[in-house]
Amino acid sequence: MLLNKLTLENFRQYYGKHEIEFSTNAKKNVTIIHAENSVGKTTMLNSITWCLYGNTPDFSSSDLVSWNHDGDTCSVKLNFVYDDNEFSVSRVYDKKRRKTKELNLYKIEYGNSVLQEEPVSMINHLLPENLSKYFFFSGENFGGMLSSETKSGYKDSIHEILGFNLPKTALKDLKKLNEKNTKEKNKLLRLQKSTENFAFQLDEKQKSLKEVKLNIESIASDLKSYKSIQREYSQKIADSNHEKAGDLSKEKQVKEMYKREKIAIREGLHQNKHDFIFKYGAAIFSRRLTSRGLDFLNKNDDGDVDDDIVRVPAPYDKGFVNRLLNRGSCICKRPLIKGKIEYENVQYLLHTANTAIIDDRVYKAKMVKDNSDGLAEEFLSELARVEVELSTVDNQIGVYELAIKDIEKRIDALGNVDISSWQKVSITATSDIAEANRKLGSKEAYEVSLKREIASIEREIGRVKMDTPELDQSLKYQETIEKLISYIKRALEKEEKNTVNLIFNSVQKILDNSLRRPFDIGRDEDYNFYQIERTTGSIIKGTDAGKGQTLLLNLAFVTALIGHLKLRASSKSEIFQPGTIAPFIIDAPFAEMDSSYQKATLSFLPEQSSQLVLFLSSGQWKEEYKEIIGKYVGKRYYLVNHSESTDEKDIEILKDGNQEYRLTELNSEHIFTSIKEIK
Amino acid sequence: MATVYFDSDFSSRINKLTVEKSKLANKPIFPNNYSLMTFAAMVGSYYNSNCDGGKLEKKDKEIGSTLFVDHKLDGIAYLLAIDATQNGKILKSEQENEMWKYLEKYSNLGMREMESWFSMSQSIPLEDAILDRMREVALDIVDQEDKDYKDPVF
Repeated sequence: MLLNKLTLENFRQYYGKHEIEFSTNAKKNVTIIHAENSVGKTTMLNSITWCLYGNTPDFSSSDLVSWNHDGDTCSVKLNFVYDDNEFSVSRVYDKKRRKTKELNLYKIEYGNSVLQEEPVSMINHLLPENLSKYFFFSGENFGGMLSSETKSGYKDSIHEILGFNLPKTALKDLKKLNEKNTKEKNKLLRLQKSTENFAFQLDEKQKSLKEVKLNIESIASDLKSYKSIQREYSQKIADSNHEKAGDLSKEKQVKEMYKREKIAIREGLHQNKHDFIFKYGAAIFSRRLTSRGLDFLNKNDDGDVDDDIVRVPAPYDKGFVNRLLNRGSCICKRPLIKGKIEYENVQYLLHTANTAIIDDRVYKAKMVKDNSDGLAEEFLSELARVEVELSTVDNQIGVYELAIKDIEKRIDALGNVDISSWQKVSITATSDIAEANRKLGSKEAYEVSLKREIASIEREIGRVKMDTPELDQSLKYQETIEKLISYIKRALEKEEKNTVNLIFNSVQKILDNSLRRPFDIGRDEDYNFYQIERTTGSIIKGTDAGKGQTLLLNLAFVTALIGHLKLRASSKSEIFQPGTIAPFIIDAPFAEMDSSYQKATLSFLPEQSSQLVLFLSSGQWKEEYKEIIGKYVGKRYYLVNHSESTDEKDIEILKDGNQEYRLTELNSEHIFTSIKEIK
Repeated sequence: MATVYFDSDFSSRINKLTVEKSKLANKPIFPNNYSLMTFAAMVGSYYNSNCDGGKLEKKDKEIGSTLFVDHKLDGIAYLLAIDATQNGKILKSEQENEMWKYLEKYSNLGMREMESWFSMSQSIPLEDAILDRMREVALDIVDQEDKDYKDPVF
């Protein structure tokens, strides 16, 4: 979705009809709109959100119609391009009826406007309302971290624009179909004597599986809330006015972070040990077998051991014997005629003859020995290495645990009732997390084992001859649906993981290039993100790292998201819809930023955006910015304030090199705003 | 395709080894039933000179032979079968079911052996009990290799 043209008619200070065309050129994708404060930058941004979603974040509906206008209505029309087609969306407000008329969406085909059905759903598909403040971004109103302010449905909205909702919906539908089919199938199984018993077993296991899935969901949700409580209360102490407690809590957070890192290393080392069992175990215990088995395999026809010969005691190849019989003559040239003793003697060799399959299997058996040579020594050395590393990391974890306990004692010793009670909550949450993790692990294991049992019963059913074609069909139907579910699920998980990594790697890259101090971006599976001070590991809450930095991070996230959408727009995936190409419209992008961050922002914004519209006051525009962003600018405008004043002092000027543009027109009959293009 | 089974006596142990995540590694010891069966069969063959006592009482946890083939673990089954019969005919496709039974029987013996390890080392995690035995056997192998080593004659 790229914005083409915005038409405002008697909307707030835009008295009369005003149009602005945005640059849709791929190389010159930036449109800049200069204006002083209170002239109409934010109004223009709001007019777009009002047109698309019907809400106005900064003013009430009753103030929509221009105060100069004698009529009762105002309107906003937005032309945009999507998927190489032009659309026009419009909304009208009627002051007299105090009513916003329904949204109208037209597709423009050969100059004709064709009304589209379900406009709200289409607009929300292109740019979900939940994410509107991401794409229509107000630098002055950003408040804090974008993700923490977003209402529920945030993750779904991100999925929508990334094109993930189609496979998600397909999964839901397939699961419903599968449930329906399972019920039908079990009914049919009960009707047939040979499968009646299986049907009862299946019913029971499936019931347990449903219960365990609900349990898992509930524990996972508890776990999420325990984690959030723990984070919230330890942060509360860190943010408290009590300086000493704050410092101690921050110190504790750092120690906890190091402990977590060490625990992750320990987990990896234990996983290495598990892998050793699989990698070396069979080979080590095969030693006796390979030594006695291979002596036998290596014996030649005379019974002597010969390392160059690998065969079973059948010197004749089955194919070769068959060829002799077919051609009717032996290698000694004697004729082989059916019924004759020579023929029967050669034919008898087939009983002990070798075959290609035996050759292959003997080769594989021999490889078992070859592959096990030297592994015992390698295993011992690898195990020793891991055990030394484990012992070191265990010690380090122990040291951090002691330090954390010590800090907790010191916090308690401060004698502050609030802080002690917050700490208690945080410690309880920590033990609740451990308990929930334990429960989750055991329930998940039970789920896997139930699934395996169900699969095993279903395999048994598969072997029973079906009397009813309906049952046979139902089983095949189930197999197909389950294959599809598993395929889509795997694809979705893989794609989501990949997407989250790409987006946040891109944000991290922007931060690394832009920020003065090193910060890492932390994130969770719901696309929520936060800043972590790299040197101390402290999590930065809200705008604690500075408003300018937080604003830069927010812009970096939206830019990275848009950049990823741009990449996904050409996706030819069979499962995922292409991502949406989204515009990025920013009012006052540099609010709270110093000059260095402003320059950094201008460098990353245009390159990754598909379409960028910037509203800038003259104070936010510097001549030197032209060098950074100039080559991307496709269109440039300024908003003129038509004032009743006659005082020349009220004239405001936008300077651009040698050019000057008057931002104020005096002695106007009406107070309103107009749009002028800088050519 | 042939099918092999574990004895149902070990069902709960198999779940512990292949399904339950170990606390420290956050994953099960064996990724699946067929890798456990391969391991158990080798344990069985190490501690038993034949598989006569490996017959299953009650079958459980069916595994298709193609799983072993697809994951390149079938060589062990062939080796066990040749070793037990001393005859290559056991590898013929007509003998498929019988051939795979050797793996099943040795694995049953191996599971019994492993059960005895676990009962002797109840205070340590299962993976450590297995690794301790692997270490013992590996040390024996290395010792033996050292004894067998002869300096090259020039």
